[in-house]
Amino acid sequence: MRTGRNNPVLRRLRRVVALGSVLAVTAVVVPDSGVGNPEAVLVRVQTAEAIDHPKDVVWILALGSDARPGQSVVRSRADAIQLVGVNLKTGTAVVFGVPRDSWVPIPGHGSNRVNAAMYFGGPQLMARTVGTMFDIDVDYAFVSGFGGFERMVKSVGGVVVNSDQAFSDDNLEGRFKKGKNFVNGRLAVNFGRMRHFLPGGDFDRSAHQSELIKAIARKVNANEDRPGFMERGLLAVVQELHTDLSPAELYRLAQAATTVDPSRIKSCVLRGSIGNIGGASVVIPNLSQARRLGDATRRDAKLEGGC
Amino acid sequence: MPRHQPLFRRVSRGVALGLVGVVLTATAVGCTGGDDESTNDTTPTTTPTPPAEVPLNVTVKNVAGELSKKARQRVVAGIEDTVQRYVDGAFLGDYPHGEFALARFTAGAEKRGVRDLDLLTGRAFRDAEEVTAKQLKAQLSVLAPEGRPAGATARIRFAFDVDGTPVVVTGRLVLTPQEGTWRIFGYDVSSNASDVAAATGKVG
Repeated sequence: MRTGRNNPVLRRLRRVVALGSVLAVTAVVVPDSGVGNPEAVLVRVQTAEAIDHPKDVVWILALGSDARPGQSVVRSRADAIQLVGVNLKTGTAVVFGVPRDSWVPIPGHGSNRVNAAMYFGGPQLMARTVGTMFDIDVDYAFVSGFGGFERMVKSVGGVVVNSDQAFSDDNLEGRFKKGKNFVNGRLAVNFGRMRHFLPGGDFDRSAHQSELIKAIARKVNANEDRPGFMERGLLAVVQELHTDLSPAELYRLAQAATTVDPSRIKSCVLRGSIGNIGGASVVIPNLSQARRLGDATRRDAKLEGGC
Repeated sequence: MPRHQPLFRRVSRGVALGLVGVVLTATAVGCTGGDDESTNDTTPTTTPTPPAEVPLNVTVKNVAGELSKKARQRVVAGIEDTVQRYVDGAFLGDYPHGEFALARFTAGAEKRGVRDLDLLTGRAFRDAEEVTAKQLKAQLSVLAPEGRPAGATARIRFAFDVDGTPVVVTGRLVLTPQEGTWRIFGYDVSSNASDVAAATGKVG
């Protein structure tokens, strides 16, 4: 039985009220048939929920590729790098944002910016590289391009992001205010792409990408009961996402992920300092922080305390 | 075992008890000295009519992707078979209901479901004399990329008459096709069965 749903009391109450109404009517219209038949009763409704998935805790590397038209999505550099841990049993989740300019060892390729790992070895190498940073075994790596992400967000009817600041970018469409912003399609992509005028640069952008993931989780959680909502969204995911999973496996994973309670998702951006390697500006990531976060969440995707 | 045999067994038991009741009532009436012989002639329905059997109604509400007419029919037939087996095993079959009711669940879902048997089956009203299905409805939303079904949500509403008391089970079953059989890998189900059973004293 799920225990960590968003407003489980309200959800249950809604069902109780709905069914209670039916039974209340029944209580009026059911004739007293006598012969040991008690009066119609109006009772509390109980709910049971469970989704079967082979693992209780799943680690997903969500990657946004900066592939331009004509380029391979899985052999371009990753613009967005988000490591997501989901506890399908308890409904907790964590999202770790990794600044794309983080200078890290890439297995078999020396050290480089983390986003180069996808160029060198596709999603598999990205998963090994990021997994090593946090000492976490990544189960799935999903990659989408700008257009694919745009269409996926459209398929769920847009999302509401909570922005920590007002910002815009001269080169990209969209002007975001501090607080809640409804974003759909291209604006959702740009919310996660802009960085030039952000005081925290790449770190702030990574935080905005984490917020997009949380916004999608909120949207799914609020609409999963709507007939066809999950299937429409999943169709867009199947069509737009590069993954080794079959549609049926993706369907099971997505249904299982609905166990996540959006209010119990914690996110952290991997901190670091700005450095200079060979004349290029890079981020020297705080790998001890990454390891600490990995140690704290590896088994249950639950982060107690801060980042 | 024929699909509805358990239902008939339950109904038959109810009818038999009804007959006993009628006989006893008639005897009692006879003992009180009723002497109008024509009374018997005007009570032709001494045998209660068995409740009509309610078929499971499975319909497709949404398809995300494409499904040919034949593929759609196959999806409906496959899911109908799975849901029908679940309903028969969980609510209408022999009592008490146990894990066998979840035979069409995936292994993991069955394992979780065993903890929720009071909600997923009629185990809560195992001492009832008669359980009759009044409505068995499943509306499907199907995911079918490239014309191939990959998963489906069945929004269910099962209504039963348990010794005259309504019991309603609503919610969702999520299914995927596995080796030609649709299996239930998740559920989100609400039921008043346990509390009806408690309130009516039907818990054994």
